[in-house]
Amino acid sequence: MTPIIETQNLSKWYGQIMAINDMTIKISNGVIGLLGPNGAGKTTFIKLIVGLLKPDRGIIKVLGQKSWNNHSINNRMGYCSDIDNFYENMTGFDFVFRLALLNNYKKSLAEEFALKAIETVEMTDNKDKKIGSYSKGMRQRIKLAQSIVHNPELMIFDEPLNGMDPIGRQSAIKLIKQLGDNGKSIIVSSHILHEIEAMTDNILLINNGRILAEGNVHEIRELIDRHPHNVYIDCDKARFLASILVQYDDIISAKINPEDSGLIVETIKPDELYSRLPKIVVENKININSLYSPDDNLQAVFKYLVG
Amino acid sequence: MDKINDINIGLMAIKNIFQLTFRQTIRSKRTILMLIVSYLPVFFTAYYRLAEPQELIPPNLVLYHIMIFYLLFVSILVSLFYGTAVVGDEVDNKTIVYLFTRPIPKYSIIIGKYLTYIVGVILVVVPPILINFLIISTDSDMSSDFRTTLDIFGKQLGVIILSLIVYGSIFTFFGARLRHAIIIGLLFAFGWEKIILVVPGIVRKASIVHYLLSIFPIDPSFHQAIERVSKGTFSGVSSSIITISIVTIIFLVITVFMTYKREYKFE
Repeated sequence: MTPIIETQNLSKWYGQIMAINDMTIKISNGVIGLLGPNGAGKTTFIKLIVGLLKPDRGIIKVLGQKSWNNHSINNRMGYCSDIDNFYENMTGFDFVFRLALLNNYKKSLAEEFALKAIETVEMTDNKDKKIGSYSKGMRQRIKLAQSIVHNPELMIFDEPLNGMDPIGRQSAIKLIKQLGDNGKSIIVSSHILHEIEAMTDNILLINNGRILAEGNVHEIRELIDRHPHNVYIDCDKARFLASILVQYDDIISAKINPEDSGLIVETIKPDELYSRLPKIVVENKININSLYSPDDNLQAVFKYLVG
Repeated sequence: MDKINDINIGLMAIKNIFQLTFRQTIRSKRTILMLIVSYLPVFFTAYYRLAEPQELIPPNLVLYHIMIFYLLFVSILVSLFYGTAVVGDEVDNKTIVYLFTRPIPKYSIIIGKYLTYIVGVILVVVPPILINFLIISTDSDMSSDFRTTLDIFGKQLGVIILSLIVYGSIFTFFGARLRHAIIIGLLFAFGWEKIILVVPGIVRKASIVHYLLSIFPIDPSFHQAIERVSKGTFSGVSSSIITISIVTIIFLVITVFMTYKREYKFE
């Protein structure tokens, strides 16, 4: 079977910094998690895949073709970037619809596909509001919608769960799994293992611009579980939430961040925290603005892996 | 067949890029500033009509100076602020990622956005010019007949639109290539282009303003006086139009070429 992505001695520099280092790899169909700490080279690798960057050395082929300055390949590929920038004055619908038109659809088809994509990311109720008024999670979802509107065979999602609330995360994970089940090839990047694990068993472990490991996620999970995780929760009732969370055995500590009143939770079982959190916030009417896990724990694992 | 298909995709993309970005361009904050600049002369013209100093300054001369002000100041300033934003805004806002990851050629993005620019600046600059003309041309002290005045005004308006087109192309390139495009654009527009006006001889031909002034028509009633001052320093009409067209195309082509070469890292 032809690999969806194939690289040969691929390298990319930013001045003196080597972002991608002599990478040779073949990626097959399915959902692939690209896992690595911040600065590992995930986004650079993704930008090389989608043709936003040109390789300094080596070759990258996507769906059998080169991606740099090859616009025709974008019909078969959808890209959800890690940047949080939009045409702020546009409504969510207009944003997805206008970009769908750039996929060379007629107006009626573009409209139909835009509505469908918006429905898929559960944004139908908010489609007529301006993007400038969206929460972080809604912005992420509308960005996902524009990347799937043309039903591409390969989808590239760069940190798609960043800033989403727990419920949004769950639905985004469900969506990515569904797309994978429907036969789409997906590359999804994250620095949080349990996010990747919830979507796929197949991972590519990247650090310092090199692929360290590829294959099943379980061995990596065992390594990561030996390290406590920090989860940062920005919410309106941080003290109250802390008082609830510390009652669980897997929570080591819950500290209020003095700078912005966010909550930093240290846990040995992050999965349980993530699955427990939606119920707690709904029952106690807590508004969560953002939730993320700093990648210190993953860094520790990478240090272990590379000796 | 593939070539024809590619051209069709390109043309459709130009139209879609135009529709995507037009409202964004017009509804930007800079439009308010540019509208203020464009409508400022209207207040002066209205004052002129109300104060009636026609015996001191004839209306034809007032109209000429207003049109020169639009040509040498307003159109350049508007071109600078909108032109540098054609590609520059998309890059600064990082929204260009959405355009570059669509199955459309990069040239269609530049051309579509440049057309957005042209329509946008015409909408900002032309209405106040027409208002100025209406206020002045209805003055009973006009020395030329209305048909002659209208003929000259139409040609002057054409030159102003031409200046928006040519400066727009240059500033589009500045915005796509340079980090401090506005500052460099200001130095070019109000430094080089203004200094060159007082430099005699062939050096003047290295400016855009020289060719614009060469085709800028003058009211016959003070034709002699102006010709005496500037005799021999203008180029011919056709060579000026050709030069302006070539400059416009060259800057658009190098902007497109550069877009194909340049990587957008957004770090």
